[in-house]
Amino acid sequence: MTVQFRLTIRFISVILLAGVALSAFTAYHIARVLLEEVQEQVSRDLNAARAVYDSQTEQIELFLNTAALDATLPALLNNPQQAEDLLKALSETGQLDRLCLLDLEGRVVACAANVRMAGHDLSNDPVVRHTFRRGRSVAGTVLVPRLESETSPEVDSDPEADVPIAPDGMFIALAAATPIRDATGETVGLMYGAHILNNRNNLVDAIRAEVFRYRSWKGIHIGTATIFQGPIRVATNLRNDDGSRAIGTTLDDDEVYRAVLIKGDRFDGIAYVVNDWYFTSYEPLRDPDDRIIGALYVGVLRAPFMETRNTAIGVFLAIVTGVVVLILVLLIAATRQVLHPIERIVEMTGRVAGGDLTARVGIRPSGEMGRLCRAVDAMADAVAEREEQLELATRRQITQSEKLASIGRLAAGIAHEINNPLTGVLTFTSLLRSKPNLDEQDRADLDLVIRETTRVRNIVRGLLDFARESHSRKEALNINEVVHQATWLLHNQKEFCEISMHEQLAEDLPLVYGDRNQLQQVVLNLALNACEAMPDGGTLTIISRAEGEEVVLSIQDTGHGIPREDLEKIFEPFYTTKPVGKGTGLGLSVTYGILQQHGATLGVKSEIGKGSTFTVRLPIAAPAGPASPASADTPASATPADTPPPAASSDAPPPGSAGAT
Amino acid sequence: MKPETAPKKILVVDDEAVVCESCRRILIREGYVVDTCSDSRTGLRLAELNHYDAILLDLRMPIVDGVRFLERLREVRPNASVVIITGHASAESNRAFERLGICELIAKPFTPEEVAGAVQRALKAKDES
Repeated sequence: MTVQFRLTIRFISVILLAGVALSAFTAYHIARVLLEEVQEQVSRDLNAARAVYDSQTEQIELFLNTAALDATLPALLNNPQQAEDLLKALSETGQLDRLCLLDLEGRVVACAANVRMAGHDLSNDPVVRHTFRRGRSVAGTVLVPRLESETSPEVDSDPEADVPIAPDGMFIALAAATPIRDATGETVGLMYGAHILNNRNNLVDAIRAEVFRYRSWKGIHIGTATIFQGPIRVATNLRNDDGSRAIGTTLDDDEVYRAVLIKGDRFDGIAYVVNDWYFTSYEPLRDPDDRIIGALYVGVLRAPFMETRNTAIGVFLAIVTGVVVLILVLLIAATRQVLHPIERIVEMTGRVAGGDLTARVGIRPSGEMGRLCRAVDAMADAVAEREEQLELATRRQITQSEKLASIGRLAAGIAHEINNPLTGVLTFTSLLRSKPNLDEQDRADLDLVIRETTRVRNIVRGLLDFARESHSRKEALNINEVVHQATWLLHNQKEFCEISMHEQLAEDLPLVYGDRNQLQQVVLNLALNACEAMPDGGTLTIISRAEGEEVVLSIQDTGHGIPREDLEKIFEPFYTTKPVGKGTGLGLSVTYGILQQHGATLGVKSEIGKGSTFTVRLPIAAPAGPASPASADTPASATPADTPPPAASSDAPPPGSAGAT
Repeated sequence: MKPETAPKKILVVDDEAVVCESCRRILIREGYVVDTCSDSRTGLRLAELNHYDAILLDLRMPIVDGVRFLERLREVRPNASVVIITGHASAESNRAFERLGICELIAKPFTPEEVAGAVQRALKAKDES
């Protein structure tokens, strides 16, 4: 997982979390504020509706007051026939369903011709009662009984007729009464008028027109008004599902019913009305006796506001989402920009690791990244420089070691060529020596020639043994023999004449399993190193001993020793303390490699000025190993079966046996 | 040990005349009849035409080297005793010799005793087989 990915994920989480929280909070508040605002508006609308309603009542009262000024009225009280015509005209003008003249008992003396109410006792009508009591006009909402004429069969049977509903046989009406005074100012009767509201939708429609100004949504007027008689809607512009006015339906919201119609409180809130949710406001309608006889309702359809709210929230969420996406894009771009150098560094280090040392980061951003890039480039420079030096050194060393190898091959070839003339010398000298008639001096001279020729032969054989290309050929062998062969070669090196060599070789050593030539090279390398550590002479001691399951070979010198800091480097290839051209630096690492192939270990102890001891630990040959078990017990005849007997004579002879032929 | 009845015939093949001569002198002294040849091709021809009890063969020769010489020799004389004269024995050549039925090997430079002994052993091994 990349840093960029993790950073981005974290930022995204934070931003999304913040975005979601902010959105939820804001959306909730948008909704609340919006809906509260609507609800408050509806509450104010009810007040306006009430004002319309009241002004309608006042208009009736005013109309009656004006009519009552007529000076003929007191006389008409006693002449019902004449009064009826006048009242009829008046009722049409004032749009009154009831218009009567009452005597002081509250009994109908005369009424408009279209209503047959003569003889009705209206003394229990609250408006009438209050007018008598106060001696002035009174207006209000009252319940008026339905007249027989209004339920006549011909009316009922005509479905086209606008038959107002009359719960319990009563209508709810706006009513007013005003005293009729004679010339002296004495009250002689009452003029009573009432406007029935049942099925008369002009008032509610007027309220809607006044208050809501026909605000509509999807072709529906969202503002509604209703007049209740008790819990029954008697005038409304609410619509049933079939589109007809919802007259005759009942207020079935218990909460509203209890608050408004029983407790007489105002109700403001969301309620389910007829067939949808509305912001509503209800107010009880009381008669002048303060009895609750109905209710006035205004309501605004909730759906458009919910839609508005949802649109607002949607727009808000879209904005938030847009902003979040924008932030994310900017963020990813920013992290890209920040992390770009890291990608460059990764790519560059990959190329360096793949061997392209010319690869550099190249870019220099500001700040820490810039420092990092500079540092990485500096490191690459250093690596390249060191690599170049190392390559130079390596090439020099390889050239050197190849030179040595070709010298070795050359020497081997020369040695072969020397063999042929040497054969002649040795043969004919031997033949001469076997003549019977030689004198003592000649015999001694020929013996010397034979001895020295044999010495030459042995030197050549030693050279050939050493120069022979080594194909690892392991056999069970006695390490002492290997030591003998190696030291014998060293004995012939003139430059070591200052060094005295000692061998402390344990007898009856167990055999080790290894390649004779390679192990000889190991001993030779260690011994040569030891000798080179003693340029002014010293003592070289080679010790062999058995130790548990191992044969231990120690090569000790009394030379200058190895500094502690060099000790850990001496087994590295090409590490040398000798001047350039003097040593390849390969000796010890070759030695180390050979010993590893033999499952052996090489240890070193050194003390400055006192000398060094290299210790080789070789595992002893397993009795059931590739070497024949029989020969494992007899070190002297330790020759594998595949080596012909004369091969033994081709091995370097033991030291000091040069003349023993 | 000298042959008692008919003298054994020996062929020496070595491109170095001095080696041939050395062998000849040593083996004549031992009572053998010796042919020498410093050209491996001629040597092969000689070996095809005559019967030799033993053949001394140098490994390193121009044109036909010792190993190829031996391979061709085995085609005509599968049972001939061969003693190899070598500058330097190695494991590889040892294995090749085993395949070609060589039992004796002498390394240059040799002493007369080494040559005599090797030839003797080779002839004896042939007699026994």
